Amino acid sequence: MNRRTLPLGSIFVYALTATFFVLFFALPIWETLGGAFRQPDGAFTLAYLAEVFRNPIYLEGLWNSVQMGVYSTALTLLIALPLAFLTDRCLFPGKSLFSALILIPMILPPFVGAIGVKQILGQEGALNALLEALHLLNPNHPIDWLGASRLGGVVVMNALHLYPILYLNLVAALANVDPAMEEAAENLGCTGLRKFRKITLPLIMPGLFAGGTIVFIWAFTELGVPLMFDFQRVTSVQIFSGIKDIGGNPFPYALVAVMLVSTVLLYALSKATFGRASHAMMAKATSQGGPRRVSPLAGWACTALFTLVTFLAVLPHLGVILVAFSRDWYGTILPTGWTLDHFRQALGHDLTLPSIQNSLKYASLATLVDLVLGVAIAYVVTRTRLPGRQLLDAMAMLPLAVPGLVLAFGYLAMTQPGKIFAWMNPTVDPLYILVIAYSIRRLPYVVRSAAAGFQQTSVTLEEAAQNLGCPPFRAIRKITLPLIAANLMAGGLLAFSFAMLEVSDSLILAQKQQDFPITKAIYELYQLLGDGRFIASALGVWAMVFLGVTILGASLVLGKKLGAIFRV
Amino acid sequence: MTTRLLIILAVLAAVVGVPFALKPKASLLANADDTLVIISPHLEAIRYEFSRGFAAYYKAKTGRTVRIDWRIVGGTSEIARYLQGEYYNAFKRVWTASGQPWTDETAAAYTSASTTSPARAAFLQSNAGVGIDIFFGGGAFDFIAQAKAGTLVDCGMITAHPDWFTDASIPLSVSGEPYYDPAGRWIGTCLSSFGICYNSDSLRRLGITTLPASWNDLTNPRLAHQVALADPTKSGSIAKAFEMVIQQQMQQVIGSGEATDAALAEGWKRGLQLLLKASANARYFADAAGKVPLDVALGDAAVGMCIDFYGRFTSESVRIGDQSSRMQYFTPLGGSSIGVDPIGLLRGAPHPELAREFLAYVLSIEGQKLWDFKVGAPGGPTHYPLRRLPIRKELYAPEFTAFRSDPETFPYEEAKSFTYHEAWTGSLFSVLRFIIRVSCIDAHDEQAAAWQALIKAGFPPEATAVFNDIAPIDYAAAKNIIKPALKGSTPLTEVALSRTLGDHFRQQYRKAAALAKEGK
Repeated sequence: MNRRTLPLGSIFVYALTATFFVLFFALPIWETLGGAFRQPDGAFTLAYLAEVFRNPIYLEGLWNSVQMGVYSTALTLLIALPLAFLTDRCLFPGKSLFSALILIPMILPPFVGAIGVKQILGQEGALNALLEALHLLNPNHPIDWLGASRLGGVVVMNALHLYPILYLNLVAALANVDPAMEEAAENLGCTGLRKFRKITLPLIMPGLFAGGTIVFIWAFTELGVPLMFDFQRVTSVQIFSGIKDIGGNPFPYALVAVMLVSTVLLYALSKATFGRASHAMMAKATSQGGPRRVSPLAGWACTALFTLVTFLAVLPHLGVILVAFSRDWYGTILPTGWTLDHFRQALGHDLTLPSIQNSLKYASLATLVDLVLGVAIAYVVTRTRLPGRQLLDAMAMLPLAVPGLVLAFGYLAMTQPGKIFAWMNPTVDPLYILVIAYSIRRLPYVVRSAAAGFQQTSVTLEEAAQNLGCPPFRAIRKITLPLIAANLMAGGLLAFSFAMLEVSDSLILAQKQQDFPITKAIYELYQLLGDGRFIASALGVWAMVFLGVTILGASLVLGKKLGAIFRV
Repeated sequence: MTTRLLIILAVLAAVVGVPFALKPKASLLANADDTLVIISPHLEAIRYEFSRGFAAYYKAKTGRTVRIDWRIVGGTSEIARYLQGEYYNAFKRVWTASGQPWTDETAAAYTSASTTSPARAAFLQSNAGVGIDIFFGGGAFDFIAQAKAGTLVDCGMITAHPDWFTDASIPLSVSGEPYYDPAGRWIGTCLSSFGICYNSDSLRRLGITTLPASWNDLTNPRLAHQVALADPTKSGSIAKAFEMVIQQQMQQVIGSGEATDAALAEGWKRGLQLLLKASANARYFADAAGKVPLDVALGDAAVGMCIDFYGRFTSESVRIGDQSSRMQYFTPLGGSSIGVDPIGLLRGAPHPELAREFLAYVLSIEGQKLWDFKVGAPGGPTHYPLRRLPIRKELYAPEFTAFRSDPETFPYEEAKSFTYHEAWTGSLFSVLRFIIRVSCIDAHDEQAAAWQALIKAGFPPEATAVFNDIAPIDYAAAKNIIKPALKGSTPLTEVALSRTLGDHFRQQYRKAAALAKEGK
């Protein structure tokens, strides 16, 4: 009786989520990409697609994008894995602080973030000023960090921006590792690096895969960072450039299609290689686990490592903060002259208060939608045997790969008068379409987090509950969901923070001043001539402070650090 | 633990509370008697001042309050795309409501100026609207395109105020640029030109002792990787600036002689070679207008090409005290036409009478004062100095000099040094954009590398000749091969053409680099 309702319930969930995807993901994409598959007379054609592969410029762009993705992910892993390992195994000074602030590198507001980077790495920026002050650099020959480093610079910046994602997933995964496994290995003589490679690493694969895929797809399709470095020959920049061309040629959308397919293929490849293993574990109460005290020297060494990485990662944020307080900052290590004027202007501006209210509204609602949908999708993918669930899984990751502008234009097109979603027209009230747009984009975080949680929590716990008479969905609610609560919290936090910082949909769909979210307000302030960058930075600082406090608060609500909640 | 949580919540409340506390008293978003809907790429500063100014004007005239509902979708290319989509749906509803079938032929015909299709006639007579009254801001290029498509209608200003549309006030055209549409579909509201901004510190550092004075100075080899250029494929106004560079070269070749084909071809060649070298020096082709002056002010680019009011304003904003600003802007004499930033009434406007009031305000002396008067000057802006040049000649009279932010700028005088000749390059506007894209933007990596190699080798003759070879894109080729190919092309053939030409130039640059390395 209970077992039979489960497949029905799963099918219902599957159908619901699939419909949601088709309507709010596939449809807007088709609205925009359709032009790249249609000849002028309306017939279907793959000629545009073929043209992408005939042109060496776009092939080079694709290759550069792949390199960007691979190297960024590798460097991110190099940064995140040691940090996660140390967090899981050691107690060191300042550990709780670092854990609470781990997401800070990711909350860089758009537009002004680039200004922060430019003030530090520009030719007349702070870094060169520092080197000149130390007599390591001739003032007449400053280093062009942004112009000369290209792929290398982009990879480093990506890694420093994205490592928290991988870190969070690894910490959660490490926390779920049953210490009994490692102890057994040690008892049998397998220690140190070999133990890590043969025992720990396979056990944390789900978390590594969860974080790694997000990081890879993000880096593969990243637009803002290559633009910062004026690195033109990557697919994302070529698409952006093509879409903004006033010629109106639909060819860039063929590039988008190629990028989407590449993402799916690469995702499938990595899933086949890394994502299949799921060694679910059960009891953690069988042994003493948890972080151990280490020698004071080792402890401070850990703290130093964390401080160094965090400092490098928040350099852009520091840049924004300093800009927001400065009168001018040119050729000096620190700004010359300080003022609170920009904050007064930014926070007292007509645009600001409504935009804050709007952003909070849109982001909270989107996160709620994401949690419900994300858990549903993750459940179908990990707990059922429904055919086509892998397709659902891949689709759930795709929003990361689609360029912002493409989805945004698609949403705009499908809410025109006369189309089925005309009642969601953004010029009337953009609430519905913006919440849907935000939630589709952030869904991958929650899906991956929830899936990792499901994979690491043994299904036998649910089965045990069901054997004791608990209906299946109740078992999920009372047993599994609490166990993966921290995963959901992590995913939900990421979803909320990024929804607050969302750019493309906000710019295109929020057309009336009263509907602007905070990112569009920052953009508008940024355009003010003269002091624009200062005032926009001030509003950006506000956004960072708000998100920082929210993240800190969430970490506290979780009880302790994100990872430790898994220990019973 | 609870205390920590309470502290966090208190901090959060404080953070959220600050904007509430600093909220301005009167909100421009508040409800009003009448509402006007305007779609515009204009910056917040312009929107603010005109909202405030018009509200005061309208209140004084009619006693009613008015609110402007600004539709901000992005720049002019986004607005063009938006209007196209909206009018498509609007007219489709009108057409199908009259019982006729909507075909691909109808879709293509209704915005086409060159067809006699009944769909076109129906569109021009219809009141199909998109819920927006006015299109305010952009380049004449964008408004001419909209007028041609039929989305702009006669606003009636010319008939209502004929004294404004004379040579003494708003001339029909200046230096070859149109200033308003004789059919009243768009009217210029203020002037702008393109020019060069530079950072004196950067120039000094690079060992450049003479200040730039003309477009040619962008090709100085010392400026390698230090030039900020705007992207002509992203904006009609920027494409126009590139066209000006070529027209100036043509003018110099012709001198006072005749505009023969040979002279025009030589001018085109020099202009393109100038642009190719400037491009080789470029760090990027910016799509955002504000990026260039900002980078130059920050010292990340030594020289840049930008719009006049951006350049002037940024220059002023980085000035410290009484010293001369580290960043200066100038319009090269004879190197740019003076164009207009227009306004127009959209078809199917929901509030046409109110729209006409706004148009009258913008073109009145009162409204024109907002553009270049200092903040606080009588009749001027109250918050933001807009630093733009008004279109009406009356505003350049001596009585207003004291109130202007740019009292030494007389665009109507400057315009006399340059005349735009439509016949020379007007029909090659899209061709030029295409050419720049395939030879400079797409192939930029190879172009910059070749240029570096040439500089390093001291410009050996053979390599330099290869670099400078523009045979496939010279004047004759542009008119006789590329233009017909683009005109008759589908988007697909256009992409294929850009591939073949792009390949050609990438090979050419690679060859130049190789020859330079060999010292040839």
